[in-house]
Amino acid sequence: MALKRFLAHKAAVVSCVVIGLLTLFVVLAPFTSRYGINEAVQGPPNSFLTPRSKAWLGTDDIGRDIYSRLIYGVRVSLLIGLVSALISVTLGALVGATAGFRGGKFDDIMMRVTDLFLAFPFLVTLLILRNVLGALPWLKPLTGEMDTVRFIIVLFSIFGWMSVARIVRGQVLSLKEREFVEAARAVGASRRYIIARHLLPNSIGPIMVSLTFSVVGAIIGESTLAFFGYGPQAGAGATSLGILVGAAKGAVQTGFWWLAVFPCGTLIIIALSINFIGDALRDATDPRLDRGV
Amino acid sequence: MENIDCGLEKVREETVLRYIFRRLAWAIPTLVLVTFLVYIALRIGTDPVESYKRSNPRVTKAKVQQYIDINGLDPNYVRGYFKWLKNFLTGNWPRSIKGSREVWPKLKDAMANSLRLGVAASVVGISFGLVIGVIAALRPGGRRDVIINTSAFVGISIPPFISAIMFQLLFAVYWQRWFGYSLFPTSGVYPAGHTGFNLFLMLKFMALPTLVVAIQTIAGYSRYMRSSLLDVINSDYMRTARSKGISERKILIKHGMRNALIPVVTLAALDIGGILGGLIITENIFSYPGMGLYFLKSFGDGDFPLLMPWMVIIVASILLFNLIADISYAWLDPRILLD
Amino acid sequence: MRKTTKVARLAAALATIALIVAACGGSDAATTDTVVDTTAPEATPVSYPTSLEDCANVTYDYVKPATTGGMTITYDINPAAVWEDGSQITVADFKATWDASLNTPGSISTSGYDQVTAVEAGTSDKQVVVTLKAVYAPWRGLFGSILKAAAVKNTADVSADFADNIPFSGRPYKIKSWSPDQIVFVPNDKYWGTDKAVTKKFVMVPKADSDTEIASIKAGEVDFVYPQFFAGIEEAIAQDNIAKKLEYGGDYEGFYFQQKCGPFADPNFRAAFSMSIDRDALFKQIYIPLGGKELLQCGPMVPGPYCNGDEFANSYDPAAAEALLTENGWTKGGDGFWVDPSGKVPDIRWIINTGNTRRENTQAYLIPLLNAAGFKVRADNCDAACYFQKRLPGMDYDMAMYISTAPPDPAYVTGSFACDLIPTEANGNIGQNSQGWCNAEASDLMYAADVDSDAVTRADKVKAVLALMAKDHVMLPLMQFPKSGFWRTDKVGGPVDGQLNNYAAFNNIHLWTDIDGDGQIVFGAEQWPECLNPITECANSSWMVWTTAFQVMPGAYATTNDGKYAVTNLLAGEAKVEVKG
Repeated sequence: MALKRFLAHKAAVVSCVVIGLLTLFVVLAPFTSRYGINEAVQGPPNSFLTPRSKAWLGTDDIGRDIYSRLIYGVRVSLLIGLVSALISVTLGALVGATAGFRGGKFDDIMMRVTDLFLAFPFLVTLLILRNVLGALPWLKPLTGEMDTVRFIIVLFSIFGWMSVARIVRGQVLSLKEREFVEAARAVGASRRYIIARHLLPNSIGPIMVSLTFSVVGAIIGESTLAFFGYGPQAGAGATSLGILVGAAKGAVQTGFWWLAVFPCGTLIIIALSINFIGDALRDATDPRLDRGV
Repeated sequence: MENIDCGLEKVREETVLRYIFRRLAWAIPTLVLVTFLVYIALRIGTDPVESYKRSNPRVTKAKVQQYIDINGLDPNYVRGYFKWLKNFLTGNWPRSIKGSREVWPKLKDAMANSLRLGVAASVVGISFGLVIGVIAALRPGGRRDVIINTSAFVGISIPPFISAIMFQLLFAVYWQRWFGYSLFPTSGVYPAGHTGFNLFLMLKFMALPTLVVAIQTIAGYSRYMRSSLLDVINSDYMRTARSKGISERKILIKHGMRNALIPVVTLAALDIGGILGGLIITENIFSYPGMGLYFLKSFGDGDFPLLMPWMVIIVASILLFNLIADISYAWLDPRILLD
Repeated sequence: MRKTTKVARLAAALATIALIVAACGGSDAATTDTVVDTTAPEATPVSYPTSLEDCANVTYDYVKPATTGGMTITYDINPAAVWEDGSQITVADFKATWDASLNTPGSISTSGYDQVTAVEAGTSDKQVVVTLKAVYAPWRGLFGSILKAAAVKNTADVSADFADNIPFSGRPYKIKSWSPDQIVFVPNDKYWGTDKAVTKKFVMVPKADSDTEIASIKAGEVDFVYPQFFAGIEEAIAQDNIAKKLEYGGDYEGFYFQQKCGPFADPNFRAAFSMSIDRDALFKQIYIPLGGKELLQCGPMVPGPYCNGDEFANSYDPAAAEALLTENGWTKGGDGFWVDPSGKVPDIRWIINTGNTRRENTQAYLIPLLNAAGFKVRADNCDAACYFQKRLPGMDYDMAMYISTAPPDPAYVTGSFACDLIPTEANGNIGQNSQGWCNAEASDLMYAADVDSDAVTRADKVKAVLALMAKDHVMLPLMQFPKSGFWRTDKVGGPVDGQLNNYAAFNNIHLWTDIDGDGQIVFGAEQWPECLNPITECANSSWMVWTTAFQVMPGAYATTNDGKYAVTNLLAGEAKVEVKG
C-alpha cells in the first residue's frame, strides 16, 4: 500500500530511475569512464578543451577528461553519502528509540543536548567537529588522516545521527501508547525486545525518510567542505563531486562553462532526486493518511 | 463562555510566567556549560598555543607564558576555563594573535553587519515564505501548489554557494557587459574609499547577499507552512468545525493559522537564533565582512582570543532564541505547560 | 505488517548497493586512505638518518669563517629631506632604524645590522657615518626603510608601536587611515622630491581571493589588481577596457629536497630521484599554459649577473639514475619500487599547500610518473599556515614545492643554504636552511662572496655555489614566475605598469593618474597586512610591505625594476664606502 502511494508520485519514480542509473554507471566505473583519474586526454596543449569527441565534457587545466573525473568523483561522494547516512541512521534510530521509550532523565538530557547541537550554525559545528576529530590521537585508527574519505565519512556519521534520533524518538513516543506495545509489556517482554521487534520496525517509514535526507545532507555537506578546501584531499589528483563543484567558482569567470555546468548540474540533479524520493517516502509512509482511506 | 475564557486566561498567564522563570533559571548554567564545552573543543581543535607560536615565530618564552595566562590556557581545563571566564566577564579581553589587535571593535562591526544582513534576509524570507506556503495550502494538489512545491524543492536542493556565484555573475559581471553598469556590486559593504553612513549604498551592497539567503529561507518556510497548514486543515478538529457549517475562509484564518503557526514559529525562532553564524557561505562569496568571515579567518588562524567571544555571542543568542521559542510555544499551545 | 517487510526489503536492497559501492570505492580510495607509519623503528641499521628521532641527533661540524677587516659607509642626507611634519631627516633616524632592527624582540631580520658597530653623525646631523666590523657586500640593502626616531618611544623595542598606523612619511604619499577594510593615502605636502603625488586620494582595499578580485575589476569596483598568476587568469579577466602586463622578476618556483634526515639523506637516492624527474615534460604540461617562456635552469636564482643560465640544465637522466642505484646495492622489488640494500622501500612525502591548484596538478601529473619509475612518492599536504610556518621550517617533509622571491642582492643564498644555518637541536633550531644541505666548500664560497666587494669575483663565487648545488641535487628549479598587473584603462592611467617587477612592487603609485574623474584610484590587494609594524613579524609579508611600509618609509637605496639598486633622493649623492683590510 505504501508502495502504491509512493509510485503515485511521478517525480519520485523518475528520481529513483535517475539515481539507480547513476549508481550503476558509477559502480561500473572502470568500464563506463573513458580515461583514468589523472590521465590527460592527449599530450599538451590539452588544457581547457571544449567538449568534443575526444573528451565528451571537455578537459580541465591539465587536460584531464571531465567526464571520467565526474564519474569517479560522484562515486566517492555517493560512497560518502550512503555510508555515513547508514551509520548515522543506525546510531540515531537506536538512540532515539531508546530515549523515546525509556523517557525520563535519559530522554530529557538527550533532547536538550541534540536541541542545542542542532541549533548551532551548521558549518560552524561541522568545521569545529572536523578539527576536534582530527586532533584526537586515539581516534586516528578509526578515522585516518584528516584528508581521507574515511575521515569525512566518520565526520558526517557523527554529525548526522542527532536529527535522526529526534525523528525516531518522536515516532516512538506516538507508538508507545499503542495496544501492541501494551500487550508486549503485559506479557513481560524486555525493553530491548520491544524496541527491536515492535518499535523500530514500525518506525521504518520515518527512518527511511531520514536516511534519504541524511544522504543528501552528507553529499551537499561534502561539497560545502570541499568548497572551502576542507574536503577529501585524497592523494594526488583524486577527486570528489565536491572538489569538482568547488572548482566551478573560478571556472565561470573564465568562460570555461563546462567546468561549472556539468559538476554543478550533477550535484543539483542528485540532490533533487534524493529529495523527491524522500518526500514521496514521507507521504507514502505517513500513518495519518491511513485513517479513513 | 466568557467567564470560563477569562478564568483560563488568568491561569495561563500564571503558569506561563512560572514556566519562563524556570527556563530562565536553567539558562545561566546552560550557558556556562555550553561555553565550557566550546572552550574544550576549541582548545583541542585549534591548539591555541601552537597557533600563537606559528603566527609569531620569533616570540619569547615569556610572551608565550603571558599569552597562556591571559587566555586561561592552563593544562587543567577546568581551572583554565574559569580563568578565562574571569577575564571575559571583567572586560579584560586578550588581544588577537595577529598583530595584537583589539577584539571588541572588530567583533562589534562584524556583528552589526551580520545582524543587518540576517534580519533583512529573515524578515523578507520568512514573511514571503509563510505567505507562499499559505497560498499553496489553499488548493493542495492544484497547479499553483505543484509549481510552488517544485520551485521550493529546487530552491533547497541547490547549495547556497552555487546560487550565490550565479547571482554575483549575473547581476554584477554580465550585467556590466550587457548594459555598461553593474546592477549590484560583487562584494563588500561600501564602495572603496567610502567613509561614513549612507543608507542607499548600504542597501545596494546588501541586496545580493540578502537575496541569496532569502531564497533559501523562502523555499524552506513555504514548505513548512504548507505542510503545517495542511496538517491542521486535515485534522479532526477542523472537520468538526467544518461540519458546523462555518465558511472555509473563516475557518482557515481564525482557527487554522494559529495552530499551524506554532511549529513554524518555533522553527523560526531557532533559525533566527543561529542566524549570526549561519551566513558563512554567503559572506565568503560576497566578501561581506560579517560574523561568518570573522569566524572563517580566526578559525583558520587558530586565533583563540578572537574565537571565544564570538562563540559566547553565538551560544548566547542560540540559548536566548531557544528560550523565546519555548515561551512562544507555551503561550500559543498551553497544553505544553502540563509537562 | 506487509508494509514493513516490503519497506524493509527496500532498505536491505539499498544497504547492499551501498556496500557494493563501498567495496568498489574502497579499492580506488585505498591510495587516499593509506597512512604510512613513518615513525616505525628501523629493524636493520642504516647509514643515513631516516626517522624523526634520528633527525634530532644530527649535527654539523662546519665552522663559519672568521670575519676580518671592516668598512665604513658615509651617507650624505639631502638637505631638503624632511618628514611629513617638516622636521629634518637626520642621523637620529638612521640610528633608530639600526637600533630597532637589531634589538626589537621579534625583529624579522638582523642580518647586516648585526655587522654594524656604530652609527654616528659626520660633519653634521645630515651626514651619517656607519661603521661595520666586516666587509658586507650587500650593504646597499641596509637602511632601505628608515624609521622616524621621533615616532617611537623606545627605539630599542618598537614591537608595541605601529599597531594600526605608520604615522610618518618621507615619500610622496602618507597614510591617512588604515583599517582592516581599506588604506587611504593622501599626498604628503612636505615631500621634497620633484615626483610629487598626482592623485589626491589613493585607496587600497583587500579582496578575499582571486575570484573576488577578478569580479571586482571587471565590475569596475577597483582600478588595478596585482594577482598571483594562474592558468586561466587571462581568460578570466579578459575585457575590452582591461589592460595587462606580465613581467618576469625575482619570483621563481622549484622543487626542494630535504636532506637532513629521511630518504633523501642518502645522496645516491636523492641524486637518482632528482635525475628521474623530466622537467621539460612537466614544464610543457603545467607551466606553458601559464604563459611560461622557458624552463628555469638557474637554481634558486633568476637569470641575471649571478647565474650562467645552465647550472641545472640536463638534470633529467633516468638511465644514469638507474645505474647509480644498482651500483650502490639497490634493487627493484616486486611492486616496482626501489628497495635499499637493507631491504626497505623508502617513503617520500611530497608536501604542498592545499588549495594551490597548480601545485596540486603538478602532484597529480608527476606522482604517477615517479611511481612508475620506482619511487614511492605520496602527497602529504596541509594548509598554507601549517605549510609555511610549521612543516617547512620544521623540516617535516621530504620534497617541497614553493615560490621564493630573490631580492636583487644574492646574500640571501647564504641565509638559505649555509651549513651553520641548518636548524638543529644543538644550535637551538635557529637558521633558515630548511633543506638541510651542508657542503663545506659551498658554504665557504657563500661567506667569501658576502665579504667580496668586487662585483665580478663576487658573481663568480655565487655561480660556483650554484654549480655545487646542482651537483648535490639540492633543488630543481622550474619556472621564473611572472608578475602580472591588470588595470582598467578607463579608470587609471600613467606609468601603471612601470614598476611591477620591482622587489618593492608598484612603488610608483604616486605617478598614476585618475582618468575617470572620481578623485581617487582604487587598488585591489590580494592579501592584507595584519598589522603595520615594519620591524617585526608583520613585515614578513610581501603585501604588507608593498602596501604600507614601502609607500611611506624613505630609504637610502631603492630597488629598481630590473633588479638593481639605485640611490634615492634621500641622499645628496652616492654613499661613500671605505673598505679596511
